[in-house]
Amino acid sequence: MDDLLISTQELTENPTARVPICLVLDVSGSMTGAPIEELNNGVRYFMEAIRKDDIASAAAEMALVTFGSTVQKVLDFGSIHRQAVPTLTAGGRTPMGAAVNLALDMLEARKQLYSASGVDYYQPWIVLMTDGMPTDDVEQAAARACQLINNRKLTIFPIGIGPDADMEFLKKFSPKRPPLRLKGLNFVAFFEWLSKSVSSTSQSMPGEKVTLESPASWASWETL
Amino acid sequence: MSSHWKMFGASVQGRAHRKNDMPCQDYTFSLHRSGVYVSALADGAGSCSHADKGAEIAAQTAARVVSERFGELIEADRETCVRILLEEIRSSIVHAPDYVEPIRNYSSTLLFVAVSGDRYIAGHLGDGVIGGERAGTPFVLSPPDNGEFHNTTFFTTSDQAEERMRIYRGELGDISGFFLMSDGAAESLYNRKSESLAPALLRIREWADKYAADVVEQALHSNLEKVIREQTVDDCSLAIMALARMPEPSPSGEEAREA
Repeated sequence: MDDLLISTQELTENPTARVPICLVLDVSGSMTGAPIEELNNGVRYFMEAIRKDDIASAAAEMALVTFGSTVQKVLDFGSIHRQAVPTLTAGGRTPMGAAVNLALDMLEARKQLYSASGVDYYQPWIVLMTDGMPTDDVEQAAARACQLINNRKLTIFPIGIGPDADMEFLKKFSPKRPPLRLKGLNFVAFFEWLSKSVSSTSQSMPGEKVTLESPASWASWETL
Repeated sequence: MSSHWKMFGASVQGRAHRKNDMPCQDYTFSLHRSGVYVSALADGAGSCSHADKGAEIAAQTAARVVSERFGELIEADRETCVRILLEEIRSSIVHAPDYVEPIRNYSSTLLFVAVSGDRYIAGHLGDGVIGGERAGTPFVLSPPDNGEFHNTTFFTTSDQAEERMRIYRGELGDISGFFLMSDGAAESLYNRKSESLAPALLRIREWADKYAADVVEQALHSNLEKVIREQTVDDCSLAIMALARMPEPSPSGEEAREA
């Protein structure tokens, strides 16, 4: 009996719940050469991996902030399948505090937009990568990040690149999750891990604990 | 005044649970006892090991308690109602055969509506939606409560359950139907932005007037499986209460059904 079959026109459509991810990346002068090339490869890999995953692609919204000569909003939050893959260039100093502040401001604005539009969202993520130490004051940005993390409003992944990355400064942004040092220039392995983590999160349901894969493929354990 | 309510329910395993070979963690239960009609639905919490059993216990216990203590619960203050219900559910969990600690293994949401005479009481903890039909128009009685993030909500075992559980009571007036749905079904049947219900629910409500109970229940199951489940990866469940518009057999008998 056709009368007993509902058509999709009689249903309502809700937007996919979003996973907001902000990459906050060091592009200071010391990243010149192989590091910036590998970082570009990693970002490209991440965007392509998400595009190939239907569920993650509908859910993930990426933003990209760089810190070097200036603090730059390279990409505002948006669907990865509509974003052009950027090519980052290295130069300048390491204004990490200003970059994290900008990322937190962008996250706040995005959450307000989601709420106003009836879009559900998951806990936002910030990936913070640096190969050195900040050249500006990070105290205010670190306090903002820590407050959000302690209130379970934010997850941050602090990653050190190379032997000169100051892990103590990274730790200031992450009261729960210890910073990890990238194994060599294994950016692609890190972004592969990140895309899998986004994929798991985008399929998680209320009450479900999302278990992220071990970071062994890209993290140098001796720094833990 | 005595009236007769028809009650239907169905649950189907979501695509994610099917892929991972996990049981359906949604559960619906209806009970007609001593002139009280109760429909209850519970959605077990994602990765909790005994969430399917927890959902079954929560829905059955809530239905039993509300049917036995309708008169008391409809007069009591919200805090007392919530305390009675959560104490009974938590006690039923820890006294269940083969109980495995901790109690959080059995976490679930809870939605119920009970009707007796011209009054109703409804309770809601967590996500999912309770809606109704008043004079042919659908309305939302209780929206989802997720907290800030999509994959968080509140469960029967949560520390905040006492403060988050919502209780609604009132006169039926022109209300002739109630809809209870898990978050998986709500993905297709509830618009989060406009906080309104999908037109499909009114048509489902009409089935109760036109078809026999087994036909309606089969149609509910079939639509959850073929249409509504396709819009989500989550388990989907739906329970309906419909005021009988035709004279029915004596409502004094007792009946319990699960799905």
